[in-house]
Amino acid sequence: MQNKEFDKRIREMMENHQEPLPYGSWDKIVSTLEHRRAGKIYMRRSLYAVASVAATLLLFLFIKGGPSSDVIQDNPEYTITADLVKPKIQGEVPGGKISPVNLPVKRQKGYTEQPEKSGIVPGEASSKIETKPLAEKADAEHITVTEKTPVEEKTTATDKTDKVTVVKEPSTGKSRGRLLGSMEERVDRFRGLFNGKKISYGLSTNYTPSVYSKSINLLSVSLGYQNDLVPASIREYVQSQSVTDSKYSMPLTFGLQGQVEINDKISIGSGLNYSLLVSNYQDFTPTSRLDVQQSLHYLGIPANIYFNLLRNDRLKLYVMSGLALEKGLSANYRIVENGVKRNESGKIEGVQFSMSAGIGAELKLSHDLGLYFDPTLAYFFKGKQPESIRTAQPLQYKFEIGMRFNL
Amino acid sequence: MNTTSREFFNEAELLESCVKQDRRAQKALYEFYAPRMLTLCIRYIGDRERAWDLLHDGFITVFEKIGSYSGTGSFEGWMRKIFVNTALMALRKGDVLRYSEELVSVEREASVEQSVLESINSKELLRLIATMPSGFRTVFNMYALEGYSHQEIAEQLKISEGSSRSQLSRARVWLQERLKKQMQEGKR
Repeated sequence: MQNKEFDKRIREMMENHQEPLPYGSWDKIVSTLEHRRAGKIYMRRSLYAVASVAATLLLFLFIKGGPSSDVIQDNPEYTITADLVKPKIQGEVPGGKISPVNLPVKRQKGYTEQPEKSGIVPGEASSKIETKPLAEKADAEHITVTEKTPVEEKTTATDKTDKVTVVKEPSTGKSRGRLLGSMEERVDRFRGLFNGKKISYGLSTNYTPSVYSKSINLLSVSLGYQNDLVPASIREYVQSQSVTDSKYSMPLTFGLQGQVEINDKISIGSGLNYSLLVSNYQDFTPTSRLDVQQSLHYLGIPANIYFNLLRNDRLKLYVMSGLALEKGLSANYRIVENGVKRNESGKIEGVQFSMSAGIGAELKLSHDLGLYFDPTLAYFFKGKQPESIRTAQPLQYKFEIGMRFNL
Repeated sequence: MNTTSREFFNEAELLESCVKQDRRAQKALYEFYAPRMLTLCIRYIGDRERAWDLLHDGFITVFEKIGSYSGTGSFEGWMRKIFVNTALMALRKGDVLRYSEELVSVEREASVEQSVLESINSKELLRLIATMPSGFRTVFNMYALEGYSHQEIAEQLKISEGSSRSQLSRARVWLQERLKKQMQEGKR
C-alpha cells in the first residue's frame, strides 16, 4: 500500500469515528457562554456609566463655560470701568451688559460685595447706562478704560456715585452673561456657607483590580461548608458532596465628593458613592449543575481627610485617609439550575464599614479643573454582609480616578 | 443531523439561529458535531481529559465567532480549522511543538498491507494515534488527516518543510509498526 492510500484509509476511518461526549459537557458550555455574556453586559454597563460621568463633566463645563474671571480680567479690551451717576441708571445697556464687578475685578483683601447699595441689578429693565462702541468709550464722560490696573474698592458704593463694570460681550449675548453672573453669585453664596474656605468637588470612578477565586475542595464540603452566595431558598438543593467554585469580579464604584480646605495643608471631603459587586458561584454534582450570579448594589458615604505634600499651579500631591459607611440597596441573583434560568432578589441587612489610606495626585488642567488619581489600600470590616469580594479579600487595593472642580 | 436538529429546516437556518445565540440551535449544532470534534481533539492532544477541555474551548470559540462564517466552504471545514488552531495553541502552551533538530527527510513508502488496516476498528486506531509521540502526531494529523501541505505545516509549527516531511515519514513508520504488532498479537 502506498503512502497516499495509507493516509486516505486512515482518514476515512477517523472521519467516521465519533467519540462519546463527557457527561454535562453541554451544560458547561452554556454556563461559560452565559458567564461571558454577563461579563459583556457588565462591561457595557460600566462603559455606559463612564460615558454618563464623562457626559456630566462635559455638561458641567459647557454650563460653567468660558474663560475664568482671571482670564477676563487680564484682557483690558473687555473691561471698562465707569463712574456712573445713580439717577442716570435707567434701562438696559445697548450692546453691553451690566454685571456686578465680581467677574472682571480681582478681589482684594477685605472686599465685601454690596449689591444692594449700588442700586443696580444686572439686566434690570430700569437700568439706564449709555455706552458706545469700544473705541468711543474712552471719550465718554465718566467712563474710563482700565488696562491691567488693579481695581481697588471700586465696588464700594457712595451716596452719589456707583462704580460699575460694563463687560463688553460682542458675540456671546446677554443670556450667557447673566448665567455667568448668576453662577458666580451662587458660588459666592455657597462659599459663604463655609466662611470663604476653598471648596472643590469631584466626580470619580473607582476600580479595584482584585479578582479573587475560591475553589472549595471535597473535604471542606464534607465538613458542612455551605456557600453564602447561594440564596437561602435554594440552599437545601445544593448537595453536600459536590464541587463548588466562587469567583468574584472586579468591584466598580462611581461617586460624587465635595472637599473643603481647612488650611493650606489640610482638607476634608465627603460625598456619595455607588458600588457594584458581582460574584459567580458554581456547583457541580454528578447529576446536576447550578450557576449563581450575585450582584450587590451599595450606596455609601465616605469621609476623608487630605494632607497636602506638594502644591503648585500644575500639580498637587497629598496623602489621604478615610472611612466609609455603605448600605446595601439590594442583592440580585441570577440562577441557572440545570439549564433553567430564574432571577431572585433580596435585601441586604446591616452596613459595610471600611477604612482606607493612600496617596494621591491631582493634575491641574485649568484654574477650575483637575484630574486626580488616588491609589489607596482599603480594609473592609466583616459585618453581616453577603459573601462578596470584600468578605473573601478584606484588604484591597483601590484605584480611584476622577475630575475635581474648584469653586 | 440528529433528532434534536430536526427542529431546524436546514443547516443555514440552524446556523442563523446560532448567530442569534439561540440555545436550542446551539445545542443541536453541538450534539451533531461534537463527537467528531472530540475525535479530532484526542488525535491532536493525545490525552482524553485535555481533549474535553479543548472541545469546550473550541465550541465556545465556534459560538462566539459563528457570525464570521461567510458561508463559502463547508461549515464543518470552518469548524475543523477552529479546533485544529485551538489544539495547536494548547500544544504550543505545552511546548511540545518545539522541533530544534533539523531532521533529514526520509521519504519511505508504506510497508503495511491493507489487511492490517482492515483488522482494526476506528477506536483502536484512534488509541494508537493518541499514543504517538507528539511531534509525529501533530504533523501526521495535519498532513494525512486534515490535508495541510508541508509548507502550511512548516508555517504553522514554525519548522522547516524538511522537518515536516521527516516527522511525517517517521510517524507513518511508527504507526505501521504498531499496526503490524497489533495484528500479530490479535492472531495469537
